[in-house]
Formats: sequence, structure tokens, C-alpha cells
Amino acid sequence: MALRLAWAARTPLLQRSAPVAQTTWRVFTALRGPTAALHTRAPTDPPNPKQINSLVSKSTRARELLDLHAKYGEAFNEINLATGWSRLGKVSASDRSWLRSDDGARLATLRE
Amino acid sequence: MQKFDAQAVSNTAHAIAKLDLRGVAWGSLWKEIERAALARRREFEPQHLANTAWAFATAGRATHALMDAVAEESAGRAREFTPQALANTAWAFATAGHAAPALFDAIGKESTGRVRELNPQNLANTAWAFAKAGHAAPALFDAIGMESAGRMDEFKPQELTNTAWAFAKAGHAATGALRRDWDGGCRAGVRV
Repeated sequence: MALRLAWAARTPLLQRSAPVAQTTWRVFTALRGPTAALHTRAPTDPPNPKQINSLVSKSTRARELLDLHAKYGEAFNEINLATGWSRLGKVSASDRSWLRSDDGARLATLRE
Repeated sequence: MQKFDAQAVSNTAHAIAKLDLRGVAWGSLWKEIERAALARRREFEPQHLANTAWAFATAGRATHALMDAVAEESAGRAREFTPQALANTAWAFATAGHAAPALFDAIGKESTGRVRELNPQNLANTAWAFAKAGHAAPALFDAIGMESAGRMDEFKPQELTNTAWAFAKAGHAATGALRRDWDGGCRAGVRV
């Protein structure tokens, strides 16, 4: 109990409970209007490289991988990028064919 | 790409080759991978060397500089290669049409000694690669012939034809057992 209290005292409220943080954020943006998100930092940071790598490693479909890169690409480090390529090399034949179409245009952002 | 470690460079090359991205737009990325591979060559594990050679050969992007570097790094370390890595490396150099006699000698010696560890695809690819490269290796062909003789039923039709082609191209006579099993294997393949 003492340990839990000590942890609670040291940990900011938003880190203690993600659902509470999300709800708080939704109420906040609802009150401030839709532009609130443009001016204020969201309470949940993008995942760190280790978390990104975990997400990338678990992805088996080409679309999932491209979505992850579209969402968090700016936070990708070189390990995330290499893992992404490696996963893309293991997708199904139909996904490979989908990626190949239009000279791999869907992969253009990964190439840069 | 320059921040990628050896494994990342090799995995990326392997993935892009598997995706078969050959257009002009991908040329600069292949160049970047090549530069990174050359810079990291001393850090490559045997699997990275085999995968990198396979990737560049498959994509038709093998350059003299890269293949020479892979050959130089691999020749003295053939003992550390898995049977599949040995077969894939030989296949890559033969496909790229890049002469690497010291590497083929090393792969030939290693594959002969470990021929029982080779699966039908490895046996067929190794024979095909040595024949395609025109690298004489009678001891290796003897070993592949003897090993294949009792395992023809495990060979796929493509592996049977590649092995037959390789023995013919190398001018290496198959033993009686291999000929007999070959006939049986081919008849079974035709039925399939």
C-alpha cells in the first residue's frame, strides 16, 4: 500500500490512467472547440522507438505497415525503418503484388 | 541508410529484392544500400553476406565492387555458413555472372563435406550454380550425385531438371544409382 501511494504521489495524473487522460482530453477539446487540438499538445505522446518497433514487428499486412509509417513516420528511427522493410519483405504474395503496382509508389515515403 | 547496422542493411536489401522493385525510381536506393553494405562489410555475419549477395543478384543490381567485397569476406568464412547460405551465395554469384573462383572453391569444399545437410533445393541450386559459373568441382558433383541418388522422391520437378541440366552442362557423368533414381524421379515428376 505504501509503495502504491508513493508511486501515485510521484506519477502525474495523466500517466496513471490512460482512459482518464483520454476522457479529459475529449472533454477539453469539446469545450475548447475542434481547433483546440491544433494549439495544444495532446496528453498522449507518440509511441517511442521501442514501442514503434513492437507495433511494426507485430504487423503482418502491407497496409498495416504503411499505416503505421503514415501515422508515426516522423518518429521512426533507423531500427524501426529497417524492421519495417524486413516485415514488408515477408508479407503475402498478394500484398507484395499490391505494393509492386505503379512501380512501388505506395512505398515512396519509405524510400526517402 | 548510413545509420543502418549490418543486419538492417542486409534485411532491407533482401526485402526490396523480394518485393521485386526494379523501376528507375528504386535505383538510387539500391545505390545507397550498396554504399552502406560496402561500408559495413566487415561487420556482416555469414547470413548477411549470403542475403546481400542474393538480394543484389535477384534484383539485377549486382555490381563488381559489391560482389568482390562479398566474395572476399565470404571466402575465408565458408565454414560459418549454413547449408542454405552456401547454396544461395553460389546461386547469387552464378546468377550475377560474377567470377569468384576462390569463393567457389571454398563453397565447393564446404558443401562437399556437409553434403548430407543440404536439402534437395540446396543440392539442385549448388549444382546449377557451379555448372552455370563453369567452375569445375568434380568432388562436389560426385557428392551431390551420391546424396541425391537416394532422395529423388524429395525433389520437386524444377529441382530435378536443374540438377540434370547441371550434370550435363558440367560434363559430369552421373553414377548408375543416380541415373536409375533420376529416371524414377522424372517419371514420378511427369505423373505429378
